[in-house]
Amino acid sequence: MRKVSIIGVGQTRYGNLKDETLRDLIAEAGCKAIKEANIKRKEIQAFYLGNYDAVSFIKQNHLAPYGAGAIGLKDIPCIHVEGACSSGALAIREGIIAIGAGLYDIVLVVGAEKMNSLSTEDVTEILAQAGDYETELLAGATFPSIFGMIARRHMYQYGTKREHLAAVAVKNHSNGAKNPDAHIQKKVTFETVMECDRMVADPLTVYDCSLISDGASAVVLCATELVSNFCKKTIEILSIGQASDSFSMHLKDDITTFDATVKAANQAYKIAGLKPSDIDVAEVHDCFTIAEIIAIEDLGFVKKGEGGESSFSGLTSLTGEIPVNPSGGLKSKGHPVGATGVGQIVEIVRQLRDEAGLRQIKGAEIGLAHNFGGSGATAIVTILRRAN
Amino acid sequence: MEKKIKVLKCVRCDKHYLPPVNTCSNCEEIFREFSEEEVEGTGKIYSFTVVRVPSKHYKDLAPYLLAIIELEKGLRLIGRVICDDFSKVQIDQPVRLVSSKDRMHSFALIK
Ligand SMILES: [Zn+2]
Repeated sequence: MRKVSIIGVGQTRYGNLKDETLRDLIAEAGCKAIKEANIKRKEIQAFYLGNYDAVSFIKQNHLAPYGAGAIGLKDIPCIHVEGACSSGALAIREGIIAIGAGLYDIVLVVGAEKMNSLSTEDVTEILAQAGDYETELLAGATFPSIFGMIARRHMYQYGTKREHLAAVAVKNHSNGAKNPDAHIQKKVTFETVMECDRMVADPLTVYDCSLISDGASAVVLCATELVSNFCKKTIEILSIGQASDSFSMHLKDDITTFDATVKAANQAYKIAGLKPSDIDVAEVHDCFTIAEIIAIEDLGFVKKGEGGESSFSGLTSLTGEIPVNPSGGLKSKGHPVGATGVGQIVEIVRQLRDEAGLRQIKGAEIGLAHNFGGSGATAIVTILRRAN
Repeated sequence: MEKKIKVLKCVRCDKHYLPPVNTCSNCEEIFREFSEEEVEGTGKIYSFTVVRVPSKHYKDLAPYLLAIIELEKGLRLIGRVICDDFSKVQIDQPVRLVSSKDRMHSFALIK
């Protein structure tokens, strides 16, 4: 396989973007990435679009040429990739495989979602469809309720506390306040989070849940052997691992760990020849606060069961030993589901290029992104490094 | 309203499944022959939550207590636990099936 690098990134702001259509979002992120890569549109040989459910959100199908048209790409193959909340990282992986195999030299990947077109009830229903419709949704489950049950079990098995969940929310809001692309750029206090009684799915309150956001993110991928022709600040993709788990969450032996994350991470570490302690900065899939606590365990940053206490003690803060979600995460940067996996890579690229402003992790050279779909049926872990 | 739960048993290795199941994951060879059985629906709570923000499908039901129930024969399913006081519910509490309709299984706490 040929090696692959990122030569340009672009992103819209994430948020409740009333005036912008899905087409607008794709165009903005895609064009910014192309500009930054300093290439011409005609140099792009294939286009990959990560999107979860434009059919339900905006009644649009056949999305890849729809998105390509918005960017003004002509004639090239256009491919839509769907993997629930991991659609974005899946789209990147397909692009990497195609370049790695020698099919193309340069491809554009965009992740995008327009969610704020419907009521919360409708969005809740659409997101629940990322789980098993027959055995989860029709049985009464929602996405937050699945993670409510996961949180409760984690508390039962490992003594994780409300305070630990709250610490994740406070940290991610604090980071998001430093990110001009974030959906919510506002700090919250520990007391506010602890006193919140707006339960969504016990023990999770609104502060434990990620946001319903619109947004798009984009990356230009290029064969590493050709990057000297383009951008000055190249980021190498060292590895990308992907794995799957039971489609229905209740069929897993232990709901406090995500097997697909563990397996995808092991693949990624092995190919990169790295271990968890080599990672300088990570973006992880915090669709709920408990998901970040489990992610840092599954990724090997801390021992199983210690994710809560470690989050509470500041291990994952901007100045901690392993900063997690400097962008603000899904919790504060926002979660336009199809965009999220690409947005995580955009943040890691900015961190490794030393362009992350107030939230910059000093001297970060190696970064990791972790994106998963549904209640963990699909997981992707990507490791990136600053090129010297 | 059914008061039992239909389960499927792999004819070759006897592993039990709740429908839908298409192939036995326990058998190395592809095997898709199952016999039907019924279970009473007694078990215990593996984990639980209270759904306050329901999907559109169950918008008139919220708030309701939702749990992963561990049934006999190592089976697990998601079901509703009908109770007046959510704060009394705990992990490992025994439950029994009271009704099963349109894929929603409802349980009651056993005192
Ligand atoms: Zn079998």
